Amino acid sequence: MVDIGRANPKVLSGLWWCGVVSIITFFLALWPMMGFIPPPAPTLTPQEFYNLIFDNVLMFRAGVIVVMISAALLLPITALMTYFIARMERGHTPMLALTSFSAGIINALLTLLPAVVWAAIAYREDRDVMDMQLMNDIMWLCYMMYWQPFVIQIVAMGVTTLKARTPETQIFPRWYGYYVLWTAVAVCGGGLSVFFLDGPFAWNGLVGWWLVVVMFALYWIVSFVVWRKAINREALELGSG
Amino acid sequence: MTMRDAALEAPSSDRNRNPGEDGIWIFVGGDLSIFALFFVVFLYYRGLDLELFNQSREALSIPLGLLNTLILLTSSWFLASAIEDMREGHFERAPKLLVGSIVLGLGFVLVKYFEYSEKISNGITLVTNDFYMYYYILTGIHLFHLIIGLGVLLFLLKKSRDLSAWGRNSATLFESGAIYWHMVDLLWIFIFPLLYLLR
Amino acid sequence: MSTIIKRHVTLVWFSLVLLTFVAWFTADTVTITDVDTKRWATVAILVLAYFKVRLVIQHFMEAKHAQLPLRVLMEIWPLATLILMLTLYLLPLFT
Repeated sequence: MVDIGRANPKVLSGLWWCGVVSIITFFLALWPMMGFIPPPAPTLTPQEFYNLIFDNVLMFRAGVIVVMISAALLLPITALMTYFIARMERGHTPMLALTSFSAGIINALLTLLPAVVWAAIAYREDRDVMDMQLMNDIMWLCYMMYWQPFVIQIVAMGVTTLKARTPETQIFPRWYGYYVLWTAVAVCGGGLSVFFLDGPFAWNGLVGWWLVVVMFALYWIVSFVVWRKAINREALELGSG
Repeated sequence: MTMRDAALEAPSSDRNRNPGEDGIWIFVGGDLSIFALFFVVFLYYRGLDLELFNQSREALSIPLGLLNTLILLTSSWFLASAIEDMREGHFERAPKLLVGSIVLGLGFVLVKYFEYSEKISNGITLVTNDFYMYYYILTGIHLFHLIIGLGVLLFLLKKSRDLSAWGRNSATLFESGAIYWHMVDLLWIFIFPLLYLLR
Repeated sequence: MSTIIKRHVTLVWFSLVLLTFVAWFTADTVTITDVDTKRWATVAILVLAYFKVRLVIQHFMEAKHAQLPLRVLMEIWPLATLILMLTLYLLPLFT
């Protein structure tokens, strides 16, 4: 019988807080620090984009630092998710937890790594505006098109939630499993942005940006609540057990 | 205890529950809302350029769209019939009906393949103009949902064959999977006239 | 075999297929270039689609037998979508 054993609820709580901080600071960094909600239109001229950055460059550079911290804080939350999945896989070697874990690391890396491109964009005032446009394109396409690891990470969690049928393994409500799977399906649409410079499916469009970011933000809000309840329940069980 | 006893009372006779699990309605309700948004966006932009949209529409193959509608309606019917069968305790026929659903679903994919390849070979792609952007994206996202649905149907097929584990949970899960597939069906019922028949 | 034919879902399927053909014929008759006929035909087609969607929701998804909150929501969605579609379809035609 494979059972990964219980974690210290205080540690779980700490990981949870890392996650909350991660998401809040991510959105704070994007806006108001970098002015990137909504993202700059792909149709901006290189000069317009240059002005967008250098009119506010100190705040922008600070925002990049915050993005990087928030991206790294995705790692503790990955660990938290992995723990929950492994608990739900109780009785077997936690392969779905491992899958989610590996996807989560990649997701955190892909959020962290491209941010340095933004730092480079804001680094020299005399940089060629065409280069800046290219670098910005890379950044946004990174963020919109790298949905795959995130999807794998959460699908593993959704599927495991639905497979859990015993009281010990049902640590999340069943609707959460369905909800997570819905989020995964909805977020896949980000990849379409490579086809369009404008319109609703571009990276700043109604569907390409707003729908994706709303689904994304909602996922975190719902998840933090569900995970918090599960952590509190663990603390209770360990306290009385 | 027979399979019949282990199975769930149908929602028509047991009014204390919803069909399927609550979670599937969150999924379906959410997805339907997103698609409604797509429809609204499509119609809004259509209103800005009626001539382009009406003219581009003429390259679409109404017979193929019609065929796809009938395919999905029949596929849903097979699935619903399979569930009725299982509720009545006839577990032998259900897997066959499910295979029928899956085959029809594959038929839809095949028809779409022909539709798309015919257009592409005529130079009509995702970026040709705004109408075709919506055409490819709406039908493409629907196709994506359908392919996921084929996976769901395969899962249901496997479940319908392995009765040793059948019980209350299986029945609700089954209903949930069916509800997803019916969603794929009903989305096409709206998409077909929206793209192919609107003048 | 006869059990299938006598079933409720089979009747629903048959109605759906029938409504599909009605919609198709309506669309086909609109090769008449009369603008008003086109509009009415299109409105009719959208309304028919709504009824088909409702049939699927009520009888295939069995929302008809659901508890009240869900039943209400699953009536609202197709109706709201139909109203939105009709509005957005007709508005540009009259402005």
